[in-house]
Amino acid sequence: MNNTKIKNIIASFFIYISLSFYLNINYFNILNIFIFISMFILYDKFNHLHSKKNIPLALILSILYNVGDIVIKNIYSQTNIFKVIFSFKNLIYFIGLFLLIQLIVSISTYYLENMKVNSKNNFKNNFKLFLLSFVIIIILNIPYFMNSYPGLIAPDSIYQIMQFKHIMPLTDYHPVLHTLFLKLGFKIGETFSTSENFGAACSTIIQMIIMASIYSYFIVFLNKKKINKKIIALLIILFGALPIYAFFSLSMWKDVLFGGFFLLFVIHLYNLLNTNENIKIRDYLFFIIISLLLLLFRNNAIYMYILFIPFYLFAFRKKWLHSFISIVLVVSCFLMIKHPIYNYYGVERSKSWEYLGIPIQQVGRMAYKNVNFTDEEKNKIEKFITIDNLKKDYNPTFSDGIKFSTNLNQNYFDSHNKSFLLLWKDLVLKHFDIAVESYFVSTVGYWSPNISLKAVELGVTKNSINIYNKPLLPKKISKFINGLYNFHKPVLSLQWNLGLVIWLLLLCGVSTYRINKKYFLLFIPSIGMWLTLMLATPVSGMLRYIFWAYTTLPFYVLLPSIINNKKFKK
Amino acid sequence: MIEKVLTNKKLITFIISFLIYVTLCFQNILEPYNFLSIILFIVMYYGIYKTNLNHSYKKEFSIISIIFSFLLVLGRILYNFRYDPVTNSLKELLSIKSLVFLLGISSLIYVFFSIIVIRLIKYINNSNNKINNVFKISFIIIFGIYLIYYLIYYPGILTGDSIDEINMILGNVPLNDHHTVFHIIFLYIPFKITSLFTNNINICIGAITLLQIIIMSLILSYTINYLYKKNTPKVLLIGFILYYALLPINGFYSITMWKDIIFSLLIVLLTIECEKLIENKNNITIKNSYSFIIISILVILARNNAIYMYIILALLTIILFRKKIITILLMFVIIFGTYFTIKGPVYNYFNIAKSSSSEYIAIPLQQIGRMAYKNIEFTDYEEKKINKIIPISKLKKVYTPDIVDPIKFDEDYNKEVFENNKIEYFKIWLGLCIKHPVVAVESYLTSTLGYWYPGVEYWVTIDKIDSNDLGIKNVSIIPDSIRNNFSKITSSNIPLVGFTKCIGLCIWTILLFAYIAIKRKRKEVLYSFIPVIGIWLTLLLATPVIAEFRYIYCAYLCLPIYIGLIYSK
Repeated sequence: MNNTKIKNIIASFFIYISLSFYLNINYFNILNIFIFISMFILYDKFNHLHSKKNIPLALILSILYNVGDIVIKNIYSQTNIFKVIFSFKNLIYFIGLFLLIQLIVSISTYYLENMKVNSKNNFKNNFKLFLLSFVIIIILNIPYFMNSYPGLIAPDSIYQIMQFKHIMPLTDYHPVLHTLFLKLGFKIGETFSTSENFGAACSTIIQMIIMASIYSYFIVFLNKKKINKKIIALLIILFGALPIYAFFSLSMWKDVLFGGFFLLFVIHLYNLLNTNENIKIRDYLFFIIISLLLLLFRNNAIYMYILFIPFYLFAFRKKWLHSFISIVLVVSCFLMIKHPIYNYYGVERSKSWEYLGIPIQQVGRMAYKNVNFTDEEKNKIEKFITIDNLKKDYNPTFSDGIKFSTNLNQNYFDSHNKSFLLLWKDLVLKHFDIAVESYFVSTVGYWSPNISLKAVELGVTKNSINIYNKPLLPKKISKFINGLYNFHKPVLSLQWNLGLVIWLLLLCGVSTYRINKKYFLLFIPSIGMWLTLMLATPVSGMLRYIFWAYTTLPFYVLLPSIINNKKFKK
Repeated sequence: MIEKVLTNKKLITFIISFLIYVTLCFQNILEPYNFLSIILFIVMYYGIYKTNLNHSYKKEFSIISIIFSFLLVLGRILYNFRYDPVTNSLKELLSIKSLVFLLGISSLIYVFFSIIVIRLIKYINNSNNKINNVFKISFIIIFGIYLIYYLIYYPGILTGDSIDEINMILGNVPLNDHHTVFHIIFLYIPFKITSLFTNNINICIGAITLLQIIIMSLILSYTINYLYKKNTPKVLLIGFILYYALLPINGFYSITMWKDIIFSLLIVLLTIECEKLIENKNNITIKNSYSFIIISILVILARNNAIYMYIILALLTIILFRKKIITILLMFVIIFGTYFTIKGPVYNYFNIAKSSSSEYIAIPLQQIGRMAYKNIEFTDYEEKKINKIIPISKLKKVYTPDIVDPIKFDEDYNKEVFENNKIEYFKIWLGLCIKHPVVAVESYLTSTLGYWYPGVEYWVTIDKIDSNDLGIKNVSIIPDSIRNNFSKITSSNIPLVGFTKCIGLCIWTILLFAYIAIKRKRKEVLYSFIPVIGIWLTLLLATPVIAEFRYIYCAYLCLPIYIGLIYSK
């Protein structure tokens, strides 16, 4: 037995220990031994792909996985997670995990960077392809639609409907443009029927059509980039039939259309990068429109856009004047709509402390973990909420528990943001470990690929406006379709793993950067969106908040190949 | 088209790996949501793709894979539903889900065989062993490690059974053969010798334990030395020494006062004696077989059920060595003659109580217990007769699928009734089994589950002395905290240790090596498998516990001998 073999056996043994722990496999289970053997085969066969350049990325991902796993297991515990993180046992698990992830990173970046999925025999007629793809996606969506008729309507959507029906005041908490979009569907519905359900169904159908069109547009884009027919066909089926895409096409959430627009934005950005010298006015016009749609469909998109602007201007510095003007136009239109126009129509602004989710959670966790507040701190906190209520209302995965608690003095909170932040700053400095732990808990879903929180709102939330779920399919089929939203179905369950999607984007980003730095610009919007969540997410892992990552994932995965394809052609 | 599909290796590989993956997910072995599980799927795909599945053993491997897979699926159903009085295991077994599992697991086993077993079959022993002092080295290592256990748990590990035996030695309770007189004598000698020098009972117990450690280390070192002489590859010898020395179960058992430990060691010696008999098959005489005769007598006296194993061994020996029939018959006359003389006249002379027949009716008792538990309808006659032994309502309540003791030791259980009407009760039991075959078979399989299904977790070792009035207690100078932490080494949560506690897996491994022996044209080695296989069969016929490790501990001790012999030159 040579040294490499011995090394591989030792490495696979560490991986085996680590995997058995993370996959909760009892060492007593006979099938457990297959993991060891599988790992040895993997390590032995792919060892040559190891590259030092992957070590930093593997280290980061291993830390994220390891810490994330500990955080998830201790969300509701009183244990200090740092004690677990820095334990000897954890070090053993970490070694195995690192070796495995290093291998996975090496294999996946190798394949991504060398991926060539091009083909010469592509579809000739792009318009026909668009139609075909559109029709297939819609047909595949139909069973989902019939099952979920009139659509998947969550509490947020009910509020929005109530807003345009003037039952509730119009607010910017749910983007007004999206509320108006829903109104359009209901208005069309009203011309045919008085049923509210029918109106809701019209909204859903319009959304389905828009999403199917965006996906089809993407398919045509791939065809133009000579991506292999089989992959194109597979993507059409996935966009139509994969539960994550199908359920979301029917979900009356702003995040869905935002996800679609995000894909358009990234594709357009790619096109702009490729036509750097010959960008036409209509390209800028499209850029401005799509930028505005992004900004108006999600309130946090503006922060992403602020981050994006300098990169954009730098990337298009040769056409700096046009680029600058386009940005000025986007920002000024946005500000105009958000301020004079919203004011004119009396749109209520979302409260500034909407974005204080993480600080609120940090103080909440301190109370939850029974830290000793001084009398002064207690007095200050109790002006907002009593310590007992803070402890009671604290929900580690969802800041709304405290934010919307009836025990919170909302008016005081609204008018004393600054004093809360000062108090928070002092508390964080004093109880730094709990503050960091709370931060991890509050954001864990966006960086650790294991937390399983609610992803889809099946059915219609109970409401007073007579909208209700009325499946148009037999019960058995309906049960089957609803059963597709399940965290325990082999392979399929991975689609709900939002942390994993973020990791995949990261791998694609690294591979793209290594192939051609220029195209890394395409990842800036995603990084921006992700950072906004990392700074102010109200939920530990809400899939719809990163639906944009799902819509763009196929693009990002194929991007290295598209770039390679281009290089190859040259 | 079909041919195209069937020859598409990628597709076939995908289907196989997907089946395996789905099975592992549905059996809750893998968490589908955890992305690391999909890594395993990909690895499986790759591993299977790179493996040659179309080899000359494919028919045999397919059959073995299906058998093992069937046992796994069946065992899992029985294990999961053993405390469920409603579910019909047969129906579960015939479901589509079970079929998918069957396909998935058999694919997995087939692939495993194609990767590992082929290599094991084809392994060529090129080693040239030249090691000095194998016996001494082995003894020092094994004894040294066991001594650590001894120091930590001084004076040893004793359960209720061991305390009973000490009470017999002290004359507090009358002598009986339940724990075997042989073992009591084994304990008596060092106990009495030590008590000549001290009144401290813990020192006397410590002396017994020390003697057991020395005997165990000597026998295991002798085994290693024997295998060395048979030119077993060096790497295997090192592995065996480590196996004997480092396996926590061996360490704990070396200091546990049970008859099963000494019995298992005697089985090790008997296994070697069987191999020696094969070596001398053309030259067997009473003179050169004296060690076989002595060890055989000790084996059958050391545990009550050993006689049944020995009958199997005797019959097969007569058939195999028929050319030397006179010598062989003479050997067995001596062995059985001694056995029956001791068990009969000698025991009677010393008024030693025999063990009760109800010791051997565990399985029928469990079967009738399960019928009551599953609410089958007994006839008035059956009800009347069973009620005489134990009221059916009570039987239903006390029935425990894992162990017969709650029935046997229930205050309402009347063993005299059975002892006096054995034939009548046999007929009732047979009638019930014929009338309710599914429950009867289900109960039988459940009662013996641990011995053929590698998924039953049952206690294996203890790390203390059971409470007693004799003043026997742990008096080790090692602090409790260290002792408690040390005890964790037998935890199933430690990699690889978990496997070592799995009886079913050990039996499968033995069967697998039996197959390898045949394929390597070493059929004669199989004769030495008989003692362990015989013990295993007696357990399958009359085990009182679902998976009592110590009953089959001999299989663990003999496994290195089988492997060593198969690969010896």
